[in-house]
Amino acid sequence: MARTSSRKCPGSAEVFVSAYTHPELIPVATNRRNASPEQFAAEATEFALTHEAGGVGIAAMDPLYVFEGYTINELWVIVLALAPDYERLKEVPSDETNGVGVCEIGTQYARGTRVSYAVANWIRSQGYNAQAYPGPSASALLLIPPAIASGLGELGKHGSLINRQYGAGLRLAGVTTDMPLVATKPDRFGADEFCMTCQVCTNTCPPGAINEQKQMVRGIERWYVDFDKCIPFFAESASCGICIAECPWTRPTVRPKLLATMARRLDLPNSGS
Amino acid sequence: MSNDGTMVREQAKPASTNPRRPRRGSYKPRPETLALLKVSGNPINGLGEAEPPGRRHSSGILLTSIHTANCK
Repeated sequence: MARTSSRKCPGSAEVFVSAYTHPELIPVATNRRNASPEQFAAEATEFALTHEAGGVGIAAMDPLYVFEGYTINELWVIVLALAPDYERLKEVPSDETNGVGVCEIGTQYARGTRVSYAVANWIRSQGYNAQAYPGPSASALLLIPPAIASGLGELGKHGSLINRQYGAGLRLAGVTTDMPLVATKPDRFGADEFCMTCQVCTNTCPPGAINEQKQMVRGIERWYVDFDKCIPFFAESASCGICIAECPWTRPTVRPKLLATMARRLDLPNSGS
Repeated sequence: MSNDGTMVREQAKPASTNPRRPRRGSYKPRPETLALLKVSGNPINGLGEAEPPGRRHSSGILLTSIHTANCK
C-alpha cells in the first residue's frame, strides 16, 4: 500500500527510535522513606519539572483509565506534559520533503520517555513501586482522562488536551505508583466554552473528522472525533496533528489573549499562562 | 460581549497555509486503507451510548489499524 510512511520523513526514524528507547527500571529500594503525601507530591513534581516535564498533574487511579484487558495495581497516576516548539509543530503534516512536524512530535515523545522513566526510578529509589508509561501508545494507561482530572487542561473540540500554558500541542507520558500522593485539582479556564463557537479545527481537518457539536459518548456529552474519518488520513499521511497545530490555544501570541477573554466572559480567575 | 466576540473570532482564524494540508473535503481515503478498517471504531469508543461509563476502553482497534497501515 502506497503511503507516506513517517519513517521516510527526514530525521523521523531517529527521534522515534529515541522515543521507544528507555533505561531499565531500577529495583525498588528496600528501605522505604517516610514522608507526608504532600511532601512526596511536591518532590515528585519538582523532580519531573527539572527533568524536562513542562507540566505535572497527579490523579487518583480510576479503573476507567486502564484499557480493557490490562491491569494496573498502583493507586496514583502522575501525568507528565511535554511542550512542543510551536514553530516546528506548525509544519505538520510531514512528508518525504519535510519532516519537521513529525520530528517535533517524536522529540516530545522521546522527552516523555526520558522523564517518565526518570520519575519512576526516583520513586523506586524512595522505596515505592512505580511504572513508566511513555507515549505514543502508553499501553495499558489512558493519559488524557487523568490529565484532565489532574488539572493539566480541558478537552478540546479536536479531542486533545488544551493546556492553559502550552495549548493543544502537548505530548503526555505517565507514571503509576503506590507512593502516597495528593491529587491536583482540575483546571477550568474556558477552553470548553471557547470550542463551542470556534471552528478552526473543524474547518482545517482534511477528512472532516471533527464534529461541530458535542456527542453522547457513554453517557457523557463531550467533544468527539470521528475515529473512522480521522484514522485513514492519519495512516495515509505521515501522522497528522493539523488540528492541534491550528488550535488558537496552541499559538503562543494568541493564548494569553484567549485566557484573558474567557476569564472575563466566564468570570474566572485569570492566573495567566 | 460584542468586543469579546470580535476578538475571539479574530484570534480563531487559521494561522497556516501549509501546502502539505489538503483542504477540508478534498481528501478521500484510498480503498485499500478503508479495507484495513474492517469494523467501525466509533461504537467501540462508546459513541451514541447513553449509559454512564461502566466498562473499559478498548485499545485494540486503534493500535491494530495504525500499526497495520504503517507496516504496509
